[in-house]
Amino acid sequence: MNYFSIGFRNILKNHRRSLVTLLSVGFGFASISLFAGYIKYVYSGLAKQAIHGELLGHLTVMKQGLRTEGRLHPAQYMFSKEELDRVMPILRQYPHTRLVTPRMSLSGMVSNGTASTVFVGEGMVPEDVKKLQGDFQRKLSGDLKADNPIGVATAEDLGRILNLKPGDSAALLVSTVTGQANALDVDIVDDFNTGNVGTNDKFLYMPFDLAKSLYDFDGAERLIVLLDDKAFTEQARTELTAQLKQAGFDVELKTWLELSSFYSQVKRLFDMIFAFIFSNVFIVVVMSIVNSMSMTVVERTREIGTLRSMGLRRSGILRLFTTEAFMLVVLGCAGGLLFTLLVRLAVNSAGITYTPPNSSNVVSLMVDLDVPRMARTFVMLSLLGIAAAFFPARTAARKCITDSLGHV
Amino acid sequence: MANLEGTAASTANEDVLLSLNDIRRDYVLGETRVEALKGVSLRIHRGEFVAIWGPSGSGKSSLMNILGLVDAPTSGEVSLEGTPIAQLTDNALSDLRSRKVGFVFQSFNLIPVLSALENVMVPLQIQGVGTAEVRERASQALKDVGLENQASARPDKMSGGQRQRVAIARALVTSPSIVVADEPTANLDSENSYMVVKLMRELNRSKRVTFIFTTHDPRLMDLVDRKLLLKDGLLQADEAVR
Ligand SMILES: Nc1ncnc2c1ncn2[C@@H]1O[C@H](COP(=O)(O)OP(=O)(O)OP(=O)(O)O)[C@@H](O)[C@H]1O
Ligand SMILES: [Mg+2]
Repeated sequence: MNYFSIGFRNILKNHRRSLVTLLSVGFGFASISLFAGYIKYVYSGLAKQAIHGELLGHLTVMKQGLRTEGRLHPAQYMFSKEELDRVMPILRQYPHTRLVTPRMSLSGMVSNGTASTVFVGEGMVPEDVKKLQGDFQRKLSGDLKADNPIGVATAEDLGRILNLKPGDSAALLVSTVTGQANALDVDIVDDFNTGNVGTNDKFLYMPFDLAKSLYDFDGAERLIVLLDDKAFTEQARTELTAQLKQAGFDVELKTWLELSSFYSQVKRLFDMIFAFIFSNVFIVVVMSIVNSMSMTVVERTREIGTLRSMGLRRSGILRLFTTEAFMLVVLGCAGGLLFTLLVRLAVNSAGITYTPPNSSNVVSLMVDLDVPRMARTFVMLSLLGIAAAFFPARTAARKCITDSLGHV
Repeated sequence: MANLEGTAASTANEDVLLSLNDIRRDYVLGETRVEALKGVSLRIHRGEFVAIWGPSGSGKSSLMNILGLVDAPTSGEVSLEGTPIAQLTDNALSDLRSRKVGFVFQSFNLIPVLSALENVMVPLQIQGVGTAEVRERASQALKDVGLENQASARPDKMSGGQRQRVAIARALVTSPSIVVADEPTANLDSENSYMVVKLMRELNRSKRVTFIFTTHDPRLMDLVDRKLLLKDGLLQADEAVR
C-alpha cells in the first residue's frame, strides 16, 4: 500500500481542515522552539556573566570547610603562601587550564570621610581580572589598575550611596585575620555594575596585595581556575580534585554553576515557564490533531470497509491513518521550523534590549537554536499525533466490514 | 421443498469453489430479531456466472456478504475451496479475501484520491507485490476493461459506467477465484448496466473467473449461467439458463 501518497493526497484534499491542523502544529512547534531558543540564549548569557562578569571563572578551589567554619577560624581555612606554592602548579599543569589566580574576600566599612557603609570586598590580581573578563563587558566587574596598589573599584550603587566617583578617595575599615581593626586609605579608580540589585550597593574590588595587607595574611582564601572551555568544567573538577587529594590537600572544588545562585534561580524559573508553555501548546496541538484525524477516520469509514474487503488487515488501516497523522506533524513542524528561523532572524537583527527583573543591566533579546529541545518536541509531537490517529483508526478497523461498507 | 442443491452444473461437483451449508443470519436490533437468511445451502462452482435475484429485503445482500467472506453467518458452515472459514483469525481471513475474493460494489467505492490506475493497483499492493509488477498487472487489468486511456483520471472525473469498469479491473487484478458484486448496476443507467454485466460475462469467459452478482434487472438475467431466486431468506429456485 502506498500509505504516504494516500495520506498526502488526503491532506491536500481536506486542505481547509489540514491547514488549520498544520497551522496549529506549526505555530505550536515554533513557539516552543522560539522560547527554548530564547532561554538558551539567556542561559548562555548568564553563564558568561557568571564566569567572566562575576569573575567566578570555571572552578573555585578552597579548603574543605571554608564555607562553614571559615569565618570562625579564618587562618586555618585559607591557603598559606607555602601551600599556594604547591597547589598552584598542580592546577596550572592541567591541560585545559588557562589561568589560576588567588582571591581573598573581606568585608568591612567604607567611608568617604563623613559617612560610611558596609562593603563586601574581593581582592584580586588586576592583570588576572582582565584575563578573566576576556572580551566580556568590563562594566560588570570594573577595571583595577595594576600601577595603583591602592586603587579600588566600587559597584555603582555603593558609590552613589557615599557619593564616591572614580578619582575620589575613601577609607576602608576591616578586621584582620587575628581580629584587629585595620584601616587604609584607597583611591577609587573605577566603578562597575554587578547586574544584580542585591550586590550592586555592596561590592568593592581591590588589588590582591591590598587585600592581603588589609587582612594581614600572606596567602589566599580561594583560587580561581579559568579553563579553555566551560564544557570541561565537570571533568576538570573531578580530575583536579583527585590530583589535589593525592598531593595531600583536603580541598573542595566548586563550579561556577554551583556558585552563581542567580544562574540556577533564573534557570529554575525559566524551566518552569518552559514546561508550562510546552504543556499548553502540546494540549492545543494534540487536540487539533485528534479532531482532524477523528473526522478523517469517520469520513472515510466506507473506504476502510472497502480496503478491508479487499483484504487489508486491521493493522494496515492503523498504518494508513497513523501515517497521515505523522505527515501532518512532519509538515507542520517543517513549517514551524521555517517560521522559527525567520522570527529568529528578525529578532536577532532587530537589536531589541530590555532590563530583566532583579537586574541593573540592560541586556539584548536574542534567540538561539536549542536543537536537542526542538528534536525532542518533534518526537513527542509525532508520537502524540500518531496516538491521536491510532485510537479512532483502531475503533474503525474493529468495526465489522459490512457496517463500514454501509456507512454513508 | 425440493432438493435444490446441485441442480445446475451438477456435473462439476468435484470443482466446488464455495459451499454454504444451512446458513442462517439473524440481525439483532434491540428487542427485535430479523431473520435475514433462514437456512440457505448452496454450492458455487468454478467458472460459473451466477445471478441472485429476489424482492427487496429477501436477504440478497446478507448472502453476498457471507459469500464474500466479509460477514459471518449466525449458524451454518462456509467453505472456500474445501477449507472451512469459521475457524480463521481476522488476519488469515483478510489474507484469504486478498488472494481469493474480488469485490464490485453498488456505489463503486473507488478511493477518491487515487487515479484509476492507482485504484487498480491497491489490491496488489495489499498483497505486497513488487512495484514494477503491480504497475504492469494493473495496467493490463485496466486494459482488459477498456480504460487504458483513463489510467491517470481521478474517479470524480469519470462516468458511473467508467468507474464501475475500474472497479471490475480492481476486483480482477489479483486473479481471484470469485468476484462478488452486490447490485453492481443499481447506480447505472440501463445502457451502462448492460455493458457492465456484459463485460463481467466476457471476463468470466476469457479469464475463467467465477462471478456472483445480485440484480433486480430481468434483462441482465439473459447473460447468466445460473439464476438463484431468494425470497424471504430462503432459496426458492436455482435454475440453469439455457
Ligand atoms: N445490518 C442490519 N441490521 C439489521 N437488519 C438488517 C441489517 N441488514 C439487513 N437487515 C435486514 O435483513 C433483511 C434482509 O436484508 P438484505 O439487505 O440482505 O436484503 P436485500 O435482498 O439485499 O434487499 P435489497 O434488495 O433492498 O438490497 C431485511 O429485512 C433487512 O432489513
Ligand atoms: Mg441488498
